[in-house]
Amino acid sequence: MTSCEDILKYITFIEALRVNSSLCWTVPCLNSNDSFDIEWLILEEESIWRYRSSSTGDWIETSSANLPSTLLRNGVDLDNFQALLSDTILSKVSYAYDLIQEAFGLFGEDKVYNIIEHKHDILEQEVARLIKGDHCLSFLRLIKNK
Amino acid sequence: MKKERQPIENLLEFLNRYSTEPGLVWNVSHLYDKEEILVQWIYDKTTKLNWYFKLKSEETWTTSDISGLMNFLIAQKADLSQFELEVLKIICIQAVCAHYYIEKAGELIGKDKIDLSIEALKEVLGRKAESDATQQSAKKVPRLKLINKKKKKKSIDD
Repeated sequence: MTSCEDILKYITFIEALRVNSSLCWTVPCLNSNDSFDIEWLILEEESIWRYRSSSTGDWIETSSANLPSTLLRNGVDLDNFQALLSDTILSKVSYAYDLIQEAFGLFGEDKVYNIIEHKHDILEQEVARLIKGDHCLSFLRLIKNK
Repeated sequence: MKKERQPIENLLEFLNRYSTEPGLVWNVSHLYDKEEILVQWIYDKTTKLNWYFKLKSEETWTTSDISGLMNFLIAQKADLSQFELEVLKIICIQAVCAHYYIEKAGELIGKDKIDLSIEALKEVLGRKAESDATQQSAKKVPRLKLINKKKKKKSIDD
C-alpha cells in the first residue's frame, strides 16, 4: 500500500527536475464516487501544488510536503495516484531517451562528451541552474572522467 | 570561410522537436564586430514560425521559421560558427539533463521499469523507422538512379 512518504518522493522528483511547466492528474477516491484533480505548475519560478474535489470544484493550494497527507485525509486512492505519477515520469524517460539518441545521432556521442569536457565550467553552472540539487555536479564529474 | 547552413538548420530543427526549455535566447555576434543580433526561440508546437530575431538596436522582433532565420543571419553576416557552437552547447546540456533524468528516475521507480519503458520506445521507434523506410522505397523509381550523390555531412566539423 502506497504511503504518504512514497507519494512525497514522487512529487519531489517532479518538482525538482521540472521537465514540464505544468502537469495534472485526476485520481479517484477509495470509498466514494468523488475524485480529485491534482495539479502542479510553475508560476513565476515558484512551484505550486493545488487540488480540487470534483464535488466542490474549488482549487486549494498546498505545499508538496502537505499534499500527500491532505489527499489521504480526503480518501484519495494513493495507489492510483502513485501509478499515475509513475506513468508521467516514465513518459518523460522515453522522451529523454529519444532526445539523447537524437543528439548522439546528430553529432556523435564522442562529440557530445568532448564538448561537455571542454565546456565543463559553463555546463556545470547551466546544469545547476536547470537541475536543482547537488547531484548534477557529481554527475558531470562522472561524465568528465568517462 | 563560408559556413554551411544545413548542419545549423539540423540543430535548430532538433530544438523545435526536442527542447525541454520553454524558451531560449542568443546574442549572435557579427562576423566583423558590427551590430549583434538577438535570436529567440519560443516553444510552440502549433507553428513552425517560433523563431524571433532582430538587430540589437531594433525595437521589433521578426518572426519566422528556421529557413527565414538562417536567411536573415546570412544576410546580416552573423558569426554562424559561434551561433552553431552556442546551439550545440544548449543541446549538449539538454542531453546531459536527459541522461541525468533517466538515472534519477531509475533510482525512484526502479531500473527494471525504466528499461522496460525504453525497450517499448525502441520497439515503437524501430517500427516507425521500418515504416519510413518502406515509404521511402515505395517512392523510389528504379530507373532514376542517382549517381555522384554527395553524402550529407553528419558532423558539425568544418
